[in-house]
Amino acid sequence: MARRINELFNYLLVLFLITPSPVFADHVPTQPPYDQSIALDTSTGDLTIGIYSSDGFEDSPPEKYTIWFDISDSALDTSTAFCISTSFGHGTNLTWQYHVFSLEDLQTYFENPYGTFRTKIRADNDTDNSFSTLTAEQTITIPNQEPFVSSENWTAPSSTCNDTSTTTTTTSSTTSSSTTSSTVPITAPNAPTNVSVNYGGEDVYFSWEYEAGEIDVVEFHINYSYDNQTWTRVVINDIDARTYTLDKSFIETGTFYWEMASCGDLENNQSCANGDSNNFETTEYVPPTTTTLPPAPKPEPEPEPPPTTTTTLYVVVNEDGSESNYTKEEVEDGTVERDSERKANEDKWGCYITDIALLRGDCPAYNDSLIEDKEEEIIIEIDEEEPDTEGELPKDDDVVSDVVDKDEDKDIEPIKEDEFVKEEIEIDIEQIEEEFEIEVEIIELPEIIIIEEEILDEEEIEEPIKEDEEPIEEVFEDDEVVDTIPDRQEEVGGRDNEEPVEELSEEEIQEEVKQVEEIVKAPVVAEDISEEEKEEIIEEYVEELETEQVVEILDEVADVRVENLKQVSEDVIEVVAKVVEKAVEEIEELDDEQKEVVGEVLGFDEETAKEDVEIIAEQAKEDEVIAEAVEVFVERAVENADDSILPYTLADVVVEIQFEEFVADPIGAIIDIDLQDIKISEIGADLTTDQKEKAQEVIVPTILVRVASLALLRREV
Amino acid sequence: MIKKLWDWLVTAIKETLNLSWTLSGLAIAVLTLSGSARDITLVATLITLAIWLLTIGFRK
Repeated sequence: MARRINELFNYLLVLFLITPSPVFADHVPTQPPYDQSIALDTSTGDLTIGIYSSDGFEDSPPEKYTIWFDISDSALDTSTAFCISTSFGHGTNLTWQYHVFSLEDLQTYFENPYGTFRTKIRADNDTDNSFSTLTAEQTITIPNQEPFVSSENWTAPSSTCNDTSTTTTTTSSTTSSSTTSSTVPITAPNAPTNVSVNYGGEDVYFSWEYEAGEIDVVEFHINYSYDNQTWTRVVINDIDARTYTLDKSFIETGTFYWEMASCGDLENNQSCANGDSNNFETTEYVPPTTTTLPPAPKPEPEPEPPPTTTTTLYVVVNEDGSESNYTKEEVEDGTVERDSERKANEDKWGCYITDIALLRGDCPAYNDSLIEDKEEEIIIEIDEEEPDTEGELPKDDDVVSDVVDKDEDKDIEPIKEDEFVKEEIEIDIEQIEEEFEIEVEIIELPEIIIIEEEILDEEEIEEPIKEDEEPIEEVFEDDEVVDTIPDRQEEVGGRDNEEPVEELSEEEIQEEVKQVEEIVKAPVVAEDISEEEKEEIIEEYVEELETEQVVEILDEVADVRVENLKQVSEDVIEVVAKVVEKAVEEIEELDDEQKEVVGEVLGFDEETAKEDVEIIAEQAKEDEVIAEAVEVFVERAVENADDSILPYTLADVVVEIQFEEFVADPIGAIIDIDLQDIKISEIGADLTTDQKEKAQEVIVPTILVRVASLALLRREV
Repeated sequence: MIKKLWDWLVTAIKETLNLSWTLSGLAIAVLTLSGSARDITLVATLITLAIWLLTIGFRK
């Protein structure tokens, strides 16, 4: 028996836990309207109050609604405001019903029927003497324009308000009549159906269907609004109309809320039935600029004669005492020096060529002399296959074949085709080989290709050769680079030609740290001052830093990485910590690149750094834990630099701080939760990518292990 | 009645101990999270634990 009772108790307990308690929520006797609206038709002057009925879960449904209204600059005072009772009460649950203040009504109540029109609504059940609370005040501005003009013979109404909740005898009769009218089951025509709205950037097209019902439709209403509060009404009196076009001149930029209704004879206590409603984004229509044809073009003036150019000639005295004339360009591009070389080589070797051409082997006399003097040495060097042309050629063999070729052929035809250059170089080399009796197999074709690469370098081509440069060495250096790049890629196994993340060497770290210290320029503080005073000085210093300076410091810190800051002084670390804090606090002032820099300092991935920093900045304003984490991040990152293989990030600091808080006050950490702040749709939006990854790494294994253990347990059972 | 309550308490402690690895994992998860995600995880964990303990008899 006891077992049965226990089982029953458990069933009841489970039922209690799974049943949403709002099901048993007790409604008040008379509920106020669930929603309200206000709309003004500035063409007819009609002001319409919409009342959205309750869900009907009430003991005394409204027999009528009392609307308090006034035009004033201050909040509505129900003791002095006008009030009227609607002809309708609670009809169908959760439907709109409307009360219309005509222009005549407004002119009756107000001497000046314009200004801020304010209303509050109450639901009344006079029979049960039950009245709801008042709704919130809603307002609409009536413009001081036609047709809202004062009545010529305006007299103040005799009574302002007939509030049935405070009157006695009179209200009874009113109540009875009102009750009678509220018993009419249907007061509105059928609602329009299949309402479709099309907007293509200009006019808004409405179309709908309507099927006649018991109550004849008198007019269709299209209500639209840009704030979902103040509505503008379009009244369509043509009951056969099934489309309407709202002109683009009425379209504003924003969210266009619309609703469609069909209305009966509102003046004879009939109401409207709402059809569909929705909203979409619109943009104010801007008419295109009128294009006018340009005036006929004027006849072109006679072309002016080309400007006269003046060429300045430079007179250069040669070594032999003779004089030559050169233009400025020739002096600057080295033609003078080359002519000088040509003369000298002609005198010495009988070849009117430059030194470069001479070394290349264009002068047989020079080649013969080289073979005689250095044949043995050259062969040895070639056997070693050393690309050291310094051994093969004299020291002054500052030959860049391309430049030589260019200069040599400048007077004839400038070099344009790479293939041509390549071919020429190959021929030249072959010529050297023949003359030097070099075997073919020692030619290193890749080198030729590299020379070709060199030729492709436009800057090199355009740059005149200088005496102190050794282009051949540069050629080989480039050769090395070209050869090395694929090797490095192979070693790294990189993809898409990405270079690996460079780990800073100790020397580079030292260098970067020095730069950080130089940029930070920590304020000099006396040793005998207290920690608090020191902190104040640093705070003041950081406060005075401009945004650019803040970013500059953080850029350097990002380069060296926070963990490596253990090598700088404590003061510098404190300054960096404050700078990080300042950057996060003033994140709105930073552009995207600067935000990325801040994110990199905080240990975020480069790709998500910007977004993560924005999240952290937002969270730091609301969450003390995050704010503290930002504050102490740099110091803790430095402290933990040697403790972890993985980068120490802000997410780690958050965990540390939350754990410390939990240890200090376990109960407080649990009960200090405001459930109202939780928005299901935004869960996770306030987490950084790093935090999400860390949480996944914990939660997923936990759940998987639990599921696995349960499965094992069941199998054992 | 007191004895039944005592028995339930002992069983609840045993069940909680059985869940200790799971609970420690969820506790670490709570510490890893921040903001509303942290709150909802913590509340969900506690509610689930409460339901788990209250329905011991029912589940048996």
